[in-house]
Amino acid sequence: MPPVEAWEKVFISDDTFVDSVHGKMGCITCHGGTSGATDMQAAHEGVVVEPDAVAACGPCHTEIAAADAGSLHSNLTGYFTTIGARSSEENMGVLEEAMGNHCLTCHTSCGQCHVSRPTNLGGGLFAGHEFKGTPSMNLTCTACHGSRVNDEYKGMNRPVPADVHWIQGGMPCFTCHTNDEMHGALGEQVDRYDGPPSPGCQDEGCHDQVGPGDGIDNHTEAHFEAMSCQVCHSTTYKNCYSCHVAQQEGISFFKIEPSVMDFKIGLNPLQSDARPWKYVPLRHVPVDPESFAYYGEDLLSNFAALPTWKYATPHNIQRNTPQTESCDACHGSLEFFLTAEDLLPYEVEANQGVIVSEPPPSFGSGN
Amino acid sequence: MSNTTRLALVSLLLIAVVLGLAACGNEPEPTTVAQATTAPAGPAEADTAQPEPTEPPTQAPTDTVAPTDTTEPTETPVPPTETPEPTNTPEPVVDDSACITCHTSQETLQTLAVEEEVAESLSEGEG
Repeated sequence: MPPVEAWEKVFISDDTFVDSVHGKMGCITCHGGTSGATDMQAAHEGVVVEPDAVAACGPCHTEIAAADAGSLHSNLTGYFTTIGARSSEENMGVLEEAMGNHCLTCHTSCGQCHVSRPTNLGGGLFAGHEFKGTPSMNLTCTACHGSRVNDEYKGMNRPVPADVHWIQGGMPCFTCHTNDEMHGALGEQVDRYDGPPSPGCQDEGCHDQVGPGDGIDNHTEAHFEAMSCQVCHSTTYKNCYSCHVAQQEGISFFKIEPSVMDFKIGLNPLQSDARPWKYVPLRHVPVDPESFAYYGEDLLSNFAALPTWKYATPHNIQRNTPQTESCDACHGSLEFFLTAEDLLPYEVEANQGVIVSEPPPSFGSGN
Repeated sequence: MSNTTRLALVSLLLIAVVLGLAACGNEPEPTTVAQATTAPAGPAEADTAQPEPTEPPTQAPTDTVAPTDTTEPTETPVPPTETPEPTNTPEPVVDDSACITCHTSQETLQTLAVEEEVAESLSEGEG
């Protein structure tokens, strides 16, 4: 994102905002501060840059504010779920401190989507304090979901092409990712893949007519039962390794290994009625046993509880991909599958449940 | 009539008047609570001589009629047309004008806004 100067971050460029519904509420109603003060320092005493969702927004947007408390964007429960699973109860106090320094600054709030850029990226009003019912894709969604989702979706990982939904469909994020999903109104989740796929490829009005018998050779019943859509229709994506966090003179920082472009099909670690497929694409996440070593020894004492190659829904969907070029691409080779040889020594145990040892059998045409 | 006779008649008359007045001594004292709305009727007997009160009155006698509570005012009072200015602690009024004045002025903000001191990033790699 282009940088924004300090003055511009707080500049109400369009003063018609003052007469808008939100503007008429008055600055101090939401942001606090000192009424009637005439110098800058006194006026800003008690200012709340980021008003509380329930207190400031809740009186009018009651249902949304109430549901938002359960939104993963607001509470980052996914971090606690996964890091908690890899650790133990006695380590969580230290890990929560570490997450507070390094991970939890990424949470969002009402204002960080609808009024300003995310605080974690410096903040700043993006439209003169106008409230955007539909946030800016580039200044809001991909500001945070940049290096993986944005780069995949827009074709920045050359020569991998952009997602067909973007390059041909011109679909911004919120075409698929609904208000309810963003606001936590679909129910509380322990991580982003908790519950049925949302969005789902075959949701009403999307690819709801796609399935066995639709005239596409590879759309067989066996394929639909065995694989998520992305196994055939996504392609090479970014994988991250070994993020280590630390502090120096009070400044929090991280160091991470260079990302690796790869595409790996593995066994579904989240197989359920809602996600019944045997095979799904897997993405490597940047955790290793020493990720939090700065804060203490063996904090991820249960590291192997989750795979480091995790269920993925890459945002680079194509109609035709290398794995759809021939049956042998999958049925005659392990090229596209995650195998034991792909694992680093520290993650062998963690990924035993997702690696593939031999290509799926072919049962002749129609499989 | 001789002077002696005349003196005797006057004395008898005076005695008679004194006796007559003594007979009137049990009449009720003037009360202080009864407010006459009409002028009191005059005594049936001659009132040329007012009896001495047995105790000094604490209030004006009833024949000096006091105004009653039921007296209608002659004019309807007019409420004051101006609210008096508060003299002590005024009601707090939220005044956003200073916020708006500054935050809608590019020139003011460019003068006053201070760039945050960004600590040199020690992070390495994609976030």
